Amino acid sequence: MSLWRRPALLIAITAVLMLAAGGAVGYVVGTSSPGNDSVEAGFARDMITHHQQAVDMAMYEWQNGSDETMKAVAYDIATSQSAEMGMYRSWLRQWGVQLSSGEPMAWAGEEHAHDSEAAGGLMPGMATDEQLAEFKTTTGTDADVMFANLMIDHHIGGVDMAKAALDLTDDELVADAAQRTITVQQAEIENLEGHRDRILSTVEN
Amino acid sequence: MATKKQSATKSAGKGSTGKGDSAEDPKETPVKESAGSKGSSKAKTSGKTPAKGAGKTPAKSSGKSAFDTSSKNAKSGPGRKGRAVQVKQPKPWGMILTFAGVGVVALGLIGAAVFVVWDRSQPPEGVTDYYGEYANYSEVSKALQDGDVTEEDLEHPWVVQQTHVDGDEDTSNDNPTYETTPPTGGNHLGAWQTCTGSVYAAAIVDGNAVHSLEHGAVWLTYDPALVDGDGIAQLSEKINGRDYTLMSPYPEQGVEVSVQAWGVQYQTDDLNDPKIDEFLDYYIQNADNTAEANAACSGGVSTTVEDAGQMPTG
Repeated sequence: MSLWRRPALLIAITAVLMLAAGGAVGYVVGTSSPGNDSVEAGFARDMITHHQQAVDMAMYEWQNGSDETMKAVAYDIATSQSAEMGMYRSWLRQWGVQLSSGEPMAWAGEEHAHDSEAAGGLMPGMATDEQLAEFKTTTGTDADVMFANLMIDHHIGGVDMAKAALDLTDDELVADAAQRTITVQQAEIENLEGHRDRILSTVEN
Repeated sequence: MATKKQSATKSAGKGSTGKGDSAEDPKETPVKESAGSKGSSKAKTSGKTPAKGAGKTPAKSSGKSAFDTSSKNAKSGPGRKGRAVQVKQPKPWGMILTFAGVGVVALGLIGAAVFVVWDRSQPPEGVTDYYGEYANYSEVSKALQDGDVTEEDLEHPWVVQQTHVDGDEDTSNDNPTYETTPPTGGNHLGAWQTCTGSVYAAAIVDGNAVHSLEHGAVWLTYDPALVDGDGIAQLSEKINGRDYTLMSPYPEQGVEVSVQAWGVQYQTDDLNDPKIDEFLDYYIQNADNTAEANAACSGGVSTTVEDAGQMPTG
């Protein structure tokens, strides 16, 4: 009861409580952002899955293709996209969110999620199991050409995903990565088309 | 005071004219007043002190306390009996409610923050883990490196055994056996089972699947004697296309569904058990529970037990 006669003590206690509360909220905000269901986490997770298939295809081309330049492109894709997957994983672990989600593309909105579901959980541009299996029976020039075609579709899908993320995110880190993905993959699409056409014209002659 | 006044009046009466008298009176009033104000200011200070808490406090609170008490103290007059007077005062309900409200809000925020941080790191309930007194793979491997424990002293030493059994010339041990059914970790084959959301229709080789667990995959197995085609389709939906997962039948596992990541396992006879999804969400590539973080799920083998010409090891 005498506590109410001691405003200074009260103010001190309240101040400490408010500081602690502010600190606690600040800690949560500072360590959990972006959250598990955020655009940023969804984008990072789905890019890992998307990249993983590109690495898989590129490794096969590196081993079984015949055109040295196409194999160099494959080497470039396998190494750079592996490194990016590590970057995305680091983000997710730092944000303390799941590394995996059962709902691909949900972060990009209803329409994307629905397309993905219709494609058996595949993200835009990803090769189907059948296409992958077929690719892995090819060698030499056949492998070079099929790799280029699958990879072009793959990159077109990747650019779409990055554009969706760029539209939806305010996070500088994520926006920067999305922007770079768009630039790099668009350039690579042109390169893949050029090399594919060159290889095809050599075969025809 | 009285004597002073009297003597002043006396002297005025004695030695001065009417003129002097009129000059004397105003002179007297200030004296009186100053004495009175001295007294009241004294009362203020003494009244303030008990309310403030032994006068320790800086200027901050004095405004408020003075606001509260000064008028009453002035009324009650000088002296140190302020405390007795204050008991009669009504409780400052406004202040009580304000501080109580602020306190409750602050405590609520703290509680919520603590819960969020705690909840974030909690594995799903009901999961069997084989790390003994350690929480996860990261903790047990740190304890080993720090020399806090030796491998032999672990309850299940296989949670830190990651050798490729086919990495030596001896081929007799190339089909490792495991303590749990289905296996949850331990030495394994050099090739991993492709685990890019891969659904295998036939049983796969333990040694390959354990290697996938090492890479951070979750392996879902079902007992083909207990789960029918619809059930298999239902389970496939969880796995198909979800990177870092694989699924296969596991004859005679004795429970409808078992999910395992490195060193942890959850089993259920309910295909709709929400814990299956929780397990997938929590353990796929879990940083603290992945024996070889950042390793791939693609590029593995897709062989079945039949392909490999091996008998099931479960």
